[in-house]
Amino acid sequence: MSSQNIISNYSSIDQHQVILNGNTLPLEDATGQSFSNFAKSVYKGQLSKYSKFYKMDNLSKLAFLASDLLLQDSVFTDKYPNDKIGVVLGNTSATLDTDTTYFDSVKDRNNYFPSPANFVYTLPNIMIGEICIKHKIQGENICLVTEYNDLEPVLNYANLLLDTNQCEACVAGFVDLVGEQYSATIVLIEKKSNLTENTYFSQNQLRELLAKRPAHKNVY
Amino acid sequence: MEDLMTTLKGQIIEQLNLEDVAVADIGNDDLLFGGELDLDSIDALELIVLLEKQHGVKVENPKEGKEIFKSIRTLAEFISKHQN
Amino acid sequence: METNLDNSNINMTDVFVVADNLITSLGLTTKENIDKIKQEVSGVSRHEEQSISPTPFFGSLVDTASLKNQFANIGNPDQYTRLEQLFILSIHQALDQSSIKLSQPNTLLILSTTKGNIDLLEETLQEKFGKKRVFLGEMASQIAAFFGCNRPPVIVSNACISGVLAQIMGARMIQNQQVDHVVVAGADITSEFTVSGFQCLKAISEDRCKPYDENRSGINLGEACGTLILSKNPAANNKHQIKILGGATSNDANHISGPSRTGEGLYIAIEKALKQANKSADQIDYLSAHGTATLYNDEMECKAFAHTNLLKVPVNSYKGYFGHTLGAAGTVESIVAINSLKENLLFKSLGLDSLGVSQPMNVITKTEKQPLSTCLKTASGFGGCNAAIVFEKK
Repeated sequence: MSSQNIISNYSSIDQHQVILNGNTLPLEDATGQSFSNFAKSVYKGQLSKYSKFYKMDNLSKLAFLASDLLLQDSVFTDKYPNDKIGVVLGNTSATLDTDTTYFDSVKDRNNYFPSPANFVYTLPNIMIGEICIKHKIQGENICLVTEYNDLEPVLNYANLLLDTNQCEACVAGFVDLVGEQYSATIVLIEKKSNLTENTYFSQNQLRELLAKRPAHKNVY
Repeated sequence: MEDLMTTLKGQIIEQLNLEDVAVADIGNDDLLFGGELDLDSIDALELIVLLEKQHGVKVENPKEGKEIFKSIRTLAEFISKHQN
Repeated sequence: METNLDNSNINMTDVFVVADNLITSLGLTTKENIDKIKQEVSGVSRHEEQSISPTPFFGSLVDTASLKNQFANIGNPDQYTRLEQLFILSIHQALDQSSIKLSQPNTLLILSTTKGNIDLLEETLQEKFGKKRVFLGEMASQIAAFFGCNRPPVIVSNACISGVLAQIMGARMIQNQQVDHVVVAGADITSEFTVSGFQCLKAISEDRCKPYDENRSGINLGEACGTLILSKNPAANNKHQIKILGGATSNDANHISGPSRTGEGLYIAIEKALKQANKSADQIDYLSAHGTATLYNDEMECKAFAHTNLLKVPVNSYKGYFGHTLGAAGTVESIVAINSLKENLLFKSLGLDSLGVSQPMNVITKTEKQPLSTCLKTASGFGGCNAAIVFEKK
């Protein structure tokens, strides 16, 4: 549906690789690095200082990195009223990664120290909250969980929000992480009529690009 | 007391993920909340856990937290007073 | 074509709520629940349940034996987790009241939950059901398979607004003719995971919760499932029709767990929902608020209601009856609110002795008859999210 909505920018982070609008960022070889260290080096090398970054769990860090790469210049967010930008994210593992960490802190009754800082990250929409806080986005929010790594329900809902004028633009995507397995794709969806730039991607082009990526495996 | 304050600084940096902060950056009387460190309500709750887990001291009433969590010094004083 | 920035109510398909079911500590059907609410009975009580908490806690728990017995009429309880039993039994009972079937291609199932089968992190249960079942997608597959769903189910997991948001999403999909009918079911269980978590956030009350009261001291957790069937067609043989007129969500963009100090985010969601519904604040007869009974949530709502001119509207929180049922709350409380409209009956907001918010909210202190036709339901949650939806009785 909706050929009127196009993708003005996209990013993807997969297996120590960061792609921005089709171009792989020239990063130092990070093979063998943990996600935490890899995320830290991307943050330090590509983004401006934001001390809250270190407080986030890995899922939120991943969502934050992938979205901040697209939003940090404020070009997109300056174009629209705060409450007319939506954030639509999908995910398969919800917050299982941090759920497990948190649960480890309570399962032994003799060593029972539940961590508030972990617990607050045990909801998958927290990553949406982090993006909204950083960029003062106040429009529609939704976090959809799907059985497979599938961007279609996300695109469908983002298109619906744009087509019914609930939103003028959307930050949409799929962000999933469990342990060292992670995958993120973030797209900025706008109405074609709002674009002055000549370069953009159709939704079908994005689908083709994503199909070429190696499949993301669940660890369980 | 000095030792305890230095230990606390290290523990706080670690527990609250203050990656860009060093022990030397935190003064004994610096405000922990509303100051340079930019701590928030979740950090306050984590501090309660830290005191209990690392120092065996319980903050029963979160309302008293405000005074206790004012600075490294007030924290250290609270710990010394309540550890047996 | 003329552009209209809020054209969402023009030439759009109507959305009706045609059936519902409630499973809570107060009963396994909507009627049982409403009867208890009329008698001002609270489902929140003190529990000493070692498997959930090392210390006693106040919560609203579904009776395990009744759930299992009822479930045994439609399936084998040993094959389904506690949460799946809640979902399946509730959806089954709601579907029973209509001719809509999930096996039809024009019907979608939307599930709303915050933590799904989170009790499966515990080893014995994990061994019984398998590790994979802790994934929300796998949980949804089990439920979808039970009903022979034609379409893959959708799962909304958006903290405490999930249940309202799932209805908004379903209504939008019907309005835009993507589907004809949507079954929206919201559920969460009370587990060691959530109880310990809210305890360490110092958010749990040591007694029954007291929304909007000056002595409020936090939430009670509850477990429940609420199912609503939305359709483009009005309900057959119903005395009253309930319509969803509009709905919206927003983000505070302020803090991931602390409610906004200004209420601006909730204000945005309410304003948008009212605009879509083509209603002004003075046309709202009744407000079903979130009212978790934490200091900051209730005050945040109060500020937003003042800002949207809703202070005079009779308002209640159902947390005193069911506790905070998390991903179920939005569906459960909407169902009670809809019944409030149907019966022209305002339900008392349990737990209020003395108003303790900064503005004079019109909290319902006595269950009484009043002509009602339009209701606004709101919710707010972690991640800074807010939602508002408007129901109308015709």
